[in-house]
Amino acid sequence: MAGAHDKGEITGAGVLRGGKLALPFMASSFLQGTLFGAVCKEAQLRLSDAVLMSTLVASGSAQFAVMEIWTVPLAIGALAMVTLLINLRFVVVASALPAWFAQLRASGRYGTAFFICDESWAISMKEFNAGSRDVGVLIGSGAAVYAGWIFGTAFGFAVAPSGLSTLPGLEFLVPALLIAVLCGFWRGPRSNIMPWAVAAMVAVLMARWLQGSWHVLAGGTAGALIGALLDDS
Amino acid sequence: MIPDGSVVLAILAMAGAVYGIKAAGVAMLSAHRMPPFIRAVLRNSPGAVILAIVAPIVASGGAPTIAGAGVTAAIAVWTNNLLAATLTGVLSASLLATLLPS
Repeated sequence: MAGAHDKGEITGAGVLRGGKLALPFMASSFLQGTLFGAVCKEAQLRLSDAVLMSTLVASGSAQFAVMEIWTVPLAIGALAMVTLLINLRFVVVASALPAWFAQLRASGRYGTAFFICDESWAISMKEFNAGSRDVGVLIGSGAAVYAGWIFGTAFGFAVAPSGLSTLPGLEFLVPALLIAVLCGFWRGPRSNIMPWAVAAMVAVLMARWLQGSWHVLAGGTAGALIGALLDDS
Repeated sequence: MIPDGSVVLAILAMAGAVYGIKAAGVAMLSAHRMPPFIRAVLRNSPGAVILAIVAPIVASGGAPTIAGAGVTAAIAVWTNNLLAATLTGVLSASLLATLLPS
């Protein structure tokens, strides 16, 4: 639906349309949220912590990654840095929104920014490329994905049986999920083998020498830099 | 039990990081194009970080973990389904861990 305006707009109809388009993603984010809620319960977080995290952070990969390196006492700096690194790609994703998006008033732009995630970006870019300028679609699709994630978290926390981690192999749940997420980032041997090998080697080596989770930052930074250098050349 | 305040603080720090990134991206819409190298670093970051988390676990995990990792990756590539890959991988790891003498 081509907009009559040069500027973008945010309409309630757009929000609803976004929500409808995102329904399949909402189902999968609910299921992933269920896993996350169960993981939080095992880690002895409170329900309110788990739900707060899913509501404010709204990033499955970051939240699962953080739970994998969760320690007591918390290394808040490490958790924030891992979250940052995992989400850095959204600087590029967000800045790839169409130029007219910049004409929205600031509250519209920065309010909408919260709802940017892989699914909502994909859904809304498809609409924008078809001529729509209704940013409501981005908000609605993001909100639907987030709602599934948040309710899933609460549900998973509530129904998870205690003592899950005593089952053999269950400690592999979060690493497995992260590996599955990782496969989504595969762009081909040329792009990924070197940086990923570097990241893995640096992390494994540093894990022997560094305290806590700093090996994650070391490996992540090394891999990202090598990958960027190779991309550039 | 973790002291109440530190968990909420961690959550706020994480939330700030995520929102800050998205807001920065939006702010850059009207700015000049990002240098390609920076763009490449940002694009490479999530894969590298996840590898850095997972690699030491797989390296020190033994047969069940390695097998689970392989199964997870194979199913992920084959089905493109996150949950199917995760659950199959966990089941494999769990199965092997039960069957093999520890």
